[in-house]
Amino acid sequence: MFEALLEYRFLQHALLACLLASVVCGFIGVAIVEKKLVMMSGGIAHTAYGGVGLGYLLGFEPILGAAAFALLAAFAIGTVRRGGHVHTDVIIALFWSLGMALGIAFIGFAPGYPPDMSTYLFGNILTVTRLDLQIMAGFTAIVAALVIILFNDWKAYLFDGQFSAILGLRTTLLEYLLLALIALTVVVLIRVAGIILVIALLTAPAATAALFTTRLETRMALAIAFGCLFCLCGLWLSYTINIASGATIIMLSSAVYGLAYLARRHHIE
Amino acid sequence: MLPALHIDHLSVHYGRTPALTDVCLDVAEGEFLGIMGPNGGGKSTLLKAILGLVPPTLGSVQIFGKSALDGRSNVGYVPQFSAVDRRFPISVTEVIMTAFLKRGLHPFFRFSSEHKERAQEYLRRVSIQHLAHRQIAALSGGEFQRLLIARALAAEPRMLLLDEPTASIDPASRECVYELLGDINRSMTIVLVTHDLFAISAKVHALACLNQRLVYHGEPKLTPELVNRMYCCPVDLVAHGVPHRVLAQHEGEGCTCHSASAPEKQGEKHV
Repeated sequence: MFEALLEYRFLQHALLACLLASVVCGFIGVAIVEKKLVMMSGGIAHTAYGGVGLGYLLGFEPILGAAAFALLAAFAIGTVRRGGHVHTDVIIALFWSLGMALGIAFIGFAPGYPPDMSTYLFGNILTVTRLDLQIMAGFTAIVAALVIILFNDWKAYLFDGQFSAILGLRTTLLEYLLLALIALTVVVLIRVAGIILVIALLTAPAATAALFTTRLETRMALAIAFGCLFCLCGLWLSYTINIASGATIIMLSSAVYGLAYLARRHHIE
Repeated sequence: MLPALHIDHLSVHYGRTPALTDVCLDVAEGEFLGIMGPNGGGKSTLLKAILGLVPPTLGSVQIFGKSALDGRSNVGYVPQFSAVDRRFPISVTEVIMTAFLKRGLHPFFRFSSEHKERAQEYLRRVSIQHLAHRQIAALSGGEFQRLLIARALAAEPRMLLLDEPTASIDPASRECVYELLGDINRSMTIVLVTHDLFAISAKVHALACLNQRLVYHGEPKLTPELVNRMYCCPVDLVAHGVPHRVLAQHEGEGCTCHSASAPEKQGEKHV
């Protein structure tokens, strides 16, 4: 595969996409797992499908449509959740299905033959374009910069948001910022794992890292390393045995997490 | 002199459900007030309203003469044990240092060795300085409760609010926590929400009984009539988990029920 990597541009793109996806998985995956926002992230990811459909219908880059819909969903879910009048589960479920329904409807309205949407639904890292990479790199830079710059604020907020609010930290801003970063992360991961599989890629590296360290900084660094390992090995496996890359990465991530969990339990006992 | 806490005809609703109705309460500076009441009686809501975390439907809260939002920087808050995730990846020292963050956001902020020394002082004050480098997941219930108190003190408040600080810890640790609060009270006003009769009878200067409304505010002497009035039903008091009857069962005469929501009200309660 190494010679192929040097030879084929699409493999080089895939490799870069793996690295970018691992960085956002490490930073935001840990935050999502610690703040128990996994299902909300799933809701945001699935709502993004509406944006992909709109992109196809109106003829602009579908990934930008996905970003707009994901951000919109993040702010809407966050606002309704803060209001406290509707259960978070209900609003997540509604956005989850509405986004998918809108995507299907928009694609149905588009003229001509319907496009193959499986790369957005299940991911295909081998089809990542130069524009996709530029968007992914931009979003990854924003996510990484905001997490690093405000690291101590994030730590205080993630640990105890109520106490942080009493101290006067801008917890409302941090809450919406986290939701926006989740939306950007989802967009980065769509081309790697697909809308349907994105939750696994967000949680598996963070959950595996949590088995080995009890420091937030180390956990994020380790989650990035695990993300790299899962994506690169998954890419190699999918190339070798010729099956979908997104599915291979997720199966590998879940298997490694399962084994690590069992090994850890055995070690403790 | 301004009271440390002035609550003026405070009502709080969650949607259409009343949580607090027309509560008036003053806490003098240096006082140690205990707040008791049944589950769902509005104790935690009262603390949240004091901290400006829930908006009042009617009335107001003043902390050292300022509104709740402006005055809460003078308040150290110790939440319920279960409200904080004990599996979060953070060390004891780091928990204390979160209290050194003040208003706004802190871009590029890194804690210095001076911050770490200050954190160590607060840990020493609650006698857990030897646990400074331990992760919170490795602490016992009593140690974790002390840590939460130290974190509240590290915010350098003038008043400490505690929400059932001894609910999930063993009797020995409970005794230590009350001793610690007694020491802290020499320099600080304390408002303590508790179900613990020991704290009410032995430690606090004043008692407020809350069941959506303020049922009683005065000396910390629990009488059978007061307990029945507060819980709106006959109450069997159980001390420290030993089921001996402290107060005789009452038939609910003179019971004034303020809450429409608590289903336990028809039967007997154990406290």
